[in-house]
Amino acid sequence: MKINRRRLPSIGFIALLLTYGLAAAFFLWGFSQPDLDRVWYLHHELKIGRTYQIKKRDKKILLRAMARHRELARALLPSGEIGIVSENSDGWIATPVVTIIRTPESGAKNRLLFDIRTSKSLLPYSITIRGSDFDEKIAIHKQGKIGFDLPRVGATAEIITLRLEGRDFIADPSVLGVRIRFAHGG
Amino acid sequence: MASSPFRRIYLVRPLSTLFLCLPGIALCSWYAFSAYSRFDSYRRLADDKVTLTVEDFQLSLYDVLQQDLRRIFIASPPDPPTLEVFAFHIRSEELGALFRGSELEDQRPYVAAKLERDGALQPVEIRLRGQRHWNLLGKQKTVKVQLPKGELIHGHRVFNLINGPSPMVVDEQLILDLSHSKGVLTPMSQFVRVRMNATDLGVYHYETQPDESLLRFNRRMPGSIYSGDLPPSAETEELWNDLTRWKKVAWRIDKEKEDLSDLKRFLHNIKQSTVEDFARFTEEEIDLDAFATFDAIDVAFGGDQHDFRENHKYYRDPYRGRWEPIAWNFRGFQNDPLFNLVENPVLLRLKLVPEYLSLRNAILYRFLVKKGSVNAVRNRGTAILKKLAPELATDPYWDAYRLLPRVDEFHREMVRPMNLKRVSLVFESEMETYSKRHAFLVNKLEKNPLWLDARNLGDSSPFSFNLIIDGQTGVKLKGLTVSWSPECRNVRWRVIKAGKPVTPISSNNWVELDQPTDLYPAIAFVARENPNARRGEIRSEIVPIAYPFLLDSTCTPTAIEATAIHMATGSRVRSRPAEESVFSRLPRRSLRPNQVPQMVEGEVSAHPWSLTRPEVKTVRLGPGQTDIDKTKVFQEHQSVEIAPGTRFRMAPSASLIFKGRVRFSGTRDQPIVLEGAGADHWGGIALQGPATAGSVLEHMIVRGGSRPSGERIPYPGMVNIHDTRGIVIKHCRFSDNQVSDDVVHVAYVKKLLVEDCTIENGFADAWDLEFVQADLTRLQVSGVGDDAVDLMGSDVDISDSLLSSCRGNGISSGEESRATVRNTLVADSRVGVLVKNASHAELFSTLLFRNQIGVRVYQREVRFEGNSRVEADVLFIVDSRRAIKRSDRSRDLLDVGRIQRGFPQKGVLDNLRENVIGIPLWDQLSDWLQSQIVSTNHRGAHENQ
Repeated sequence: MKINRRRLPSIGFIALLLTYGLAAAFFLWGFSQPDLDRVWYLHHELKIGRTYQIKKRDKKILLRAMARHRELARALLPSGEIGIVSENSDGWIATPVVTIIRTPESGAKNRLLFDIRTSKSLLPYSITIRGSDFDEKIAIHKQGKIGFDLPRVGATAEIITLRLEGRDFIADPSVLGVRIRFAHGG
Repeated sequence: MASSPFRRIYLVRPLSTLFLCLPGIALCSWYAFSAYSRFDSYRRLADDKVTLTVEDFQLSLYDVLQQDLRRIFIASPPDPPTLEVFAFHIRSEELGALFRGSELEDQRPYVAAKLERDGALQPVEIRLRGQRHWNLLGKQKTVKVQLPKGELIHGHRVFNLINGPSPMVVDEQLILDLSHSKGVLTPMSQFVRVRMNATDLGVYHYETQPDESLLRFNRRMPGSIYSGDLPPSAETEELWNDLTRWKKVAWRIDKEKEDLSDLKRFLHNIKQSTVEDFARFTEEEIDLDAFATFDAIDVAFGGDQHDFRENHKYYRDPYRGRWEPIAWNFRGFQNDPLFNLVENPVLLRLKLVPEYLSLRNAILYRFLVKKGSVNAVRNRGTAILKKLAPELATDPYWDAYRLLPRVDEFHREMVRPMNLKRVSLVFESEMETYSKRHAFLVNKLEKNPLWLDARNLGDSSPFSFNLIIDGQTGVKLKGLTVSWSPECRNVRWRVIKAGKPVTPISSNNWVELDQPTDLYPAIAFVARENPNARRGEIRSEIVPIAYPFLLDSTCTPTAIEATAIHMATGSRVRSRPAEESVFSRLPRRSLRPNQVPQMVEGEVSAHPWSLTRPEVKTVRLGPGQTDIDKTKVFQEHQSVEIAPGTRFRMAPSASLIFKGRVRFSGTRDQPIVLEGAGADHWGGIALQGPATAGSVLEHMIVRGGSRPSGERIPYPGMVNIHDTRGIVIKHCRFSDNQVSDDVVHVAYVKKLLVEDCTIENGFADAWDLEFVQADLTRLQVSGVGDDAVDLMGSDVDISDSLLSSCRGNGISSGEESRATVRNTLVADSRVGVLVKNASHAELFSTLLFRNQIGVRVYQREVRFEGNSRVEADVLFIVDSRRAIKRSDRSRDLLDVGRIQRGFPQKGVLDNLRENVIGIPLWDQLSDWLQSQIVSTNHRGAHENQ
């Protein structure tokens, strides 16, 4: 079984390796989930609350697909140019991590309006707002309305993640008691 | 070492390499080609301008590989199957011809095949159906199947096996089930499994064609059905202007097959009638409830298929004289913030009828809180899906569209492989959409639409104010509360509408209207944001509408509040002072009643008060001789009272048609007589439509008529009662009709009560009841040309009756009828009791005497499936040539009970003998029957003099 190390493999052997290597790569590529297919799953899973924390890999896929297909961001939104794509009911969020998408056309509509109706027993808590190039935290001490101006939108669609960080938050709109709306910034 | 295979591979020569690489290259090439071919064949049908990208190629390759992988591990279909199986056998040249049909836009040829059912092969014809890629690409193709004439499956000769593209799978079935349960005309549909030449093609959606079978399935009379769909090359307007764009797929009788006059009238009214004429057309010829229910279901599920170009199917019921929509092609579960996602000319015209939207929204609200609640829909959908899952999991060709985000139409409509994970995700996602739509609709419907505009109240009486309706639904105005200034003493006031007081004079703060006043919403046509040929250029939008009132009072009011009932929810609502946002949207002008809407942006529905509605009035006729020279039609608003002793002398062919309530108030001494003025036969009488409900025919003698003619409704009887409820016929004698099929024809009537009535010398059937629920007591029928009582789709109790000398059947119970017969004699007829086509007869204390056949039961496999049943305790069948004859069973027996062939012994059927017939002994029955014939002839001769 010992191969003479001084003897190099034949060109045929290299060609054979290359061919089957490429064939394996072809099938691996073929079996790997296409971006749009993953986005379709993600979209439905977010909508019904089956998923609410988007994994880094999925986020990359989503951003990549949105960059490739200009219409995709709008297609994922229920309406308009900015909106919540994770589970919600008329803006009342159903999950402690919220995914928002905004398109480059959202323009001046970059103000988040929080209507905080969280039970007083769960106060205070914080909301971390993370976008492609910003990461802000706002502290929630009492019930009421709070506004937050997002930075200007870039040339491509953006994913904004809101994370409610506090005690005993579960994926239940009646526990979270937060409504998010969108308005033109000041 | 030299012979080591590793070494040999390590040092392999180029030529050998080529051979060794070939399998890998071939496999990759095969899959690469398959992926390309899959993409390219879709592209050619969907949009040939799309270019292949690496991303699309990978998608296609992924799908091909996933599909092959699934097929490797797929289980066998459930055994025994949980779905009905349609197994076709088709020769290869016929198969080729079938597939070549995909190249044609229409007129695709049928090819011969054989359908395997219950171990037997039945010849059928099949052809491809549908234009879209999911109908034509891949192994699963949508086909239309046609059986030979006279052959039926589930009561249908023609049906479709549809390869539905929906990823939710159950959506259309769910909506069709709900539509059917709400009384909308729907095709019969279910999931089935299809095999072709032993190849399992998986799960299909079985759906029948909109033809006469659909009408039978939905318990309607055969009538015209029109189907309207435009091919891609046609202009949108053609569907609404050109009769040839419609296909007549069902008709009442053969000679009406080519007659499109009813469609012409329908389309003319849609396109060219004035606002007022269309309102009248709707009132008389449109089943507004059916259209509103159909529309409500489309709204509830966010359907977008019934647009300006496609999916229009309408049926005109001959005996009701009304149009109904046929629920067809639903695709929904969308939630755009609109009620109607798409509209069409019929819907837009209906929305211009004042009461339509309120009716539609009342039906919609009831649906949303009951059968259409989110939980009810979810449970219904889950139940269908659960039953279907084992079949779907073993479907080798299961695919669907909308499995990619909506980046463009091409990707959105791309058909991709399905699996249970995807279907459950889509189902949950669509239910989430439905729950949002549900919340949106309920929220909009529950809004209080009532506003008060007291800006121009004025300084002196009468004070003017407006009530404004701004919302999806109208209200029934019940009353007003008015506050007065403190110095006001002994106030006296009332409310005036259109110059007439509508309330009594009040001396306190509250007044109730004499009759609730309906205040309907208004619509305007606005430009559609995303117009195209299918969606059209315009859509309707709710706009506020003001209803002016005057307040006639001795004091100056300080505040006014109206109280009303919300037409959708039934809640009590109170007016609020109108806001600027309401005033600013008040339209400046609206359509006039004599205007023909042009269906363009800016048109606003006419003010309901501008449409003249005739006042309800009572017409009195008689007593004494009343000559009717020509047919007289009394409209819905005319309540007719006919005095005792009135004698109508009817000119040849003259008829009386009542569309409102009528009361023939004859008495024993002063009956009301309808007879010909001369020797020629006159027409007939008809009670037509829901406004006749509660009519009474008492102590009438009607003889020598034929049938009413001239109206757009065919009347088969001398006396006709159609499409109504709560009709009473007592102590009437009908006789000697000529030409007409029936003496009395009743269709679509609930709660018909007939007592002590006699029919003699009938030309054909005496009582012909179609889709009727009735109690018939103490009837006498003798000497008729066909059946004494002929039932179709009816539920009837017959008691204490004497039916004799019928050339046909004493009682014919057919087409899913249910007849309960008590204390009744049927004699001297061809058949005593005939039960056929899934009907049921229960016979108690009944005697069948001297008929050729006592009881006859048969099951004709025409339109109706299911067994017929005849039940009795003891059934007396005396002196019949044959007691019972059954073609549906191997033995001639009752289903329940036994037959006695002799007269009853003393103590049995005494009530029938003594009280109903009136003879002391059964031996005298023969003589009694003879005396009946003599007295009938004598009475006839006497009356003819």
